[in-house]
Amino acid sequence: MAYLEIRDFRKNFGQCEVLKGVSLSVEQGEAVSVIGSSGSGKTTLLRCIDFLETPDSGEMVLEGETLFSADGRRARESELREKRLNFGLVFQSFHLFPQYTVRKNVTLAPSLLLNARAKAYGKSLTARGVRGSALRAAVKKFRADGRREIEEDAEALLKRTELSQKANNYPAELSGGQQQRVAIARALALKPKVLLFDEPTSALDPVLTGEVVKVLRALKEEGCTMIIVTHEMRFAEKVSDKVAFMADGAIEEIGAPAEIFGDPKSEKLKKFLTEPEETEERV
Amino acid sequence: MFAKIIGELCIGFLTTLEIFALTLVFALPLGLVVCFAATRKFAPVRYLTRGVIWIVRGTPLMLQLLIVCYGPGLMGLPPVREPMIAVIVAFSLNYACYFAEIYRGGIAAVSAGQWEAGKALGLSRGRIFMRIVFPQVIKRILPPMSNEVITLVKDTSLANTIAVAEIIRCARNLTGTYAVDIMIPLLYAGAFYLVFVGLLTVVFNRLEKKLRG
Ligand SMILES: Nc1ncnc2c1ncn2[C@@H]1O[C@H](COP(=O)(O)OP(=O)(O)O)[C@@H](O)[C@H]1O
Ligand SMILES: [Mg+2]
Repeated sequence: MAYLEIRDFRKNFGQCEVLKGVSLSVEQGEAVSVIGSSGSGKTTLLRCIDFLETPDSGEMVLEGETLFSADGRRARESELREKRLNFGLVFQSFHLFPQYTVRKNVTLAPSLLLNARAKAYGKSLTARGVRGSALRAAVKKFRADGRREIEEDAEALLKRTELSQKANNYPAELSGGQQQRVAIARALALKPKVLLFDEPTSALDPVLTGEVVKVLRALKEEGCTMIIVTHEMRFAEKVSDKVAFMADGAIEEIGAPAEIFGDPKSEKLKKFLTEPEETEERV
Repeated sequence: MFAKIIGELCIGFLTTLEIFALTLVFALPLGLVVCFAATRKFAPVRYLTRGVIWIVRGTPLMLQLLIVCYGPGLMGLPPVREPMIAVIVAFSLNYACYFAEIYRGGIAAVSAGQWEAGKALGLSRGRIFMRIVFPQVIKRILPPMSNEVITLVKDTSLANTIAVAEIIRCARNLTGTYAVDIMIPLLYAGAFYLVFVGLLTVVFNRLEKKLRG
């Protein structure tokens, strides 16, 4: 079985059938590009994977563990949060937190999660009979260690995304490319198993696209597992191991970049490749 | 005599400040609660809350003050002994409803993307609200809030209708005590308001600058 298996994802919004049974398997360290025209369901697929939408049917298995199975049961919010941490989603329009510096954008979520973990750790110690000052000292050390790790990780991530100079700047002071790199660093800070990118470059001009693509390439080389929805055909062709072409809520064709771009089979793909969309969508 | 009048007015102004401060302490958080209730998915709570907001904003604060003060006694309940309590209750409720509407606008203005980004990072709704959304709301609502707060400074004078000795009531009493023209202490009282509102304006301007920068 593949590292990540998505089986028969279906999703309706009212009468509108947006995903009509999407299956996709991704191996560890693999980069899969998803291409397809606007409205074909690419964003919805990523959102379903990241538990931001609930598929009406289908299942998802990561590392042999069933993360999602449409059985009509509504998962608890805390359960969803836990599962979401397996994935890191990077949005088309960044959605950075404007009131925080670049560094804080990256460290905020890990710090908040550390608080929760420290509380749980304290409880587990109490259950084992640790009390009083020993308990407080242990929890304090847990927090301090966690804090240090978060800060070190953040510095390393900012370096990787070439943002060390901007660590103390606010998002509004950055270019689009820098903002998107912050968003990538922010997603990486939680050490997700699979990275999901929703058109990470379509809000950027070509020069800025280049710097983001560079980061994506580096991630690929480091062995990150990624699903990248993109309009950058060159990127999809050069960097990804597999390209999936989506049309009308289904994966119409999937294969190695050379097959998809060099020898497209389906009519829809041929048409898509010869008549690229004039204007890039902004959803 | 001038010093004595100013001294008495100072005492009255302390009561004014007390009403002002206590109202803010209760109404600011209560407004947030009212705002959440008014935007609940669960329709009965939503409509009930919006009905309350409608009534509170649709009737004079003076009337609400009288109802809170004398209503319980008239309905056979234990009467409100301390008019100051009635003042704080009526003012807090009234201002909470105004604040709720300001919060609502501010929260709606924060893009859905901020919630999504927080969710995608595995944060709970409460955390997202407190750490990501609310700080942005504060920045946006500061101008309308400063307006309401300044209005509150002057609304405190309504408390004199139920015999709370805030500054206006003090000023009126002084005419009897010192046999001065009624206008004199009232004009002095006006100066107290002006100075205080001036200070608040400076504070709000600073805050706005700080949050923007
Ligand atoms: N929350 C929603 N409610 C209703 N319709 C939606 C919603 N999200 C997406 N859709 C519809 O689903 C279709 C696919 O959307 P999307 O997944 O964003 O496509 P893509 O990312 O490939 O452009 C579109 O027709 C869109 O209008
Ligand atoms: Mg999309």
